[in-house]
Amino acid sequence: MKIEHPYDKDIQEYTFDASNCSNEIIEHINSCEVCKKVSESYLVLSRELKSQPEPVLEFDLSELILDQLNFSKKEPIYNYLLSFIIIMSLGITFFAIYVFRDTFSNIFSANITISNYFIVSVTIFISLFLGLDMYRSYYKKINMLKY
Amino acid sequence: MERKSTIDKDLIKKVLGGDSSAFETIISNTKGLVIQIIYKMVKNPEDRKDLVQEVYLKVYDKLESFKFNAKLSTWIGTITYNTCLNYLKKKKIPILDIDQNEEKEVWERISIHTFCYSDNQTESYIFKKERSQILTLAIEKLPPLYKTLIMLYHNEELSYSEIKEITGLPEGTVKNYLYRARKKLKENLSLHYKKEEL
Ligand SMILES: [Zn+2]
Repeated sequence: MKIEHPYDKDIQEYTFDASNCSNEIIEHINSCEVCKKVSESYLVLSRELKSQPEPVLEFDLSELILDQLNFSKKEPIYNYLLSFIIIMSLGITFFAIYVFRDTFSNIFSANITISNYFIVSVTIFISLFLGLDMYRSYYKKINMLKY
Repeated sequence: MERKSTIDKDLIKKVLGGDSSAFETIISNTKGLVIQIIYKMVKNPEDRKDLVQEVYLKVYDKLESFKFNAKLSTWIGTITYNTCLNYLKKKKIPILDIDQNEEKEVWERISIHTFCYSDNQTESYIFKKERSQILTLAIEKLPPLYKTLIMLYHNEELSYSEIKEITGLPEGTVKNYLYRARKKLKENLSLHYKKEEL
């Protein structure tokens, strides 16, 4: 009787994925000493792979990463505080505009004085400077994250 | 799975709120998988250190876009695998240099002469340690993709669908590469043990 053993791939399937294996192959391997031995050798390999030691880092990974991310535990409180200040300043500004609405209407009418010019130009200059600085620091942080 | 996803969601929410200890938890929960993938794909120790940092900075950067279609660890595994893939591409290192004979070999019929890797129950502890070192060397000789697939399946015990998720390879390809990888690994071992017998 000529025995034709299955392929190596089939034996691996029988060993690791028996549910996908055809009955014909299962029957052959169950009754064939040669194939059984090959299947067992794959099981031994699998067992020894499982017990291989895992690689270990020589440095503290969490510390290294957290240092680079510049986490600040105060950040959420700081963010709330910032939002609070912004809302308060907006509120005060609108309130002031409302209270001094007559004066404001004068600013934009014909009676523009040097001091009004001065106040408006300084305000624009400071806002521009702060805006640019905020944009620059935002861009720098995003770039740091993008690597 | 449901519970795990709730834990993941909770951790991500805390990190996005600025809680560094939550990110530390994510790192300690996933670093085993991340380090394994990097160590199997990349040989240079300095580059390994850079890559592990790059991975977690990317994770932090993309955390907001995580959609919970997979486990957080699988998603981080995918980022790690892709980061290593880019590294290998840049260094022009092939992820898999398939030997023309390999495809044929998996389809070779088993014969009495097939090398059977076996363990002897009576062997001493020292011998076992030696066997583990021999296995490490045999694994080292595999191409990066084979090493990674073997580790994901046998060490990390991930399912085919999780491996598919991480590597982006179709499930059938994952299975086929695993067949070839185990066969090649057994051959590397047989070369070593035959050399010793001589
Ligand atoms: Zn047989």
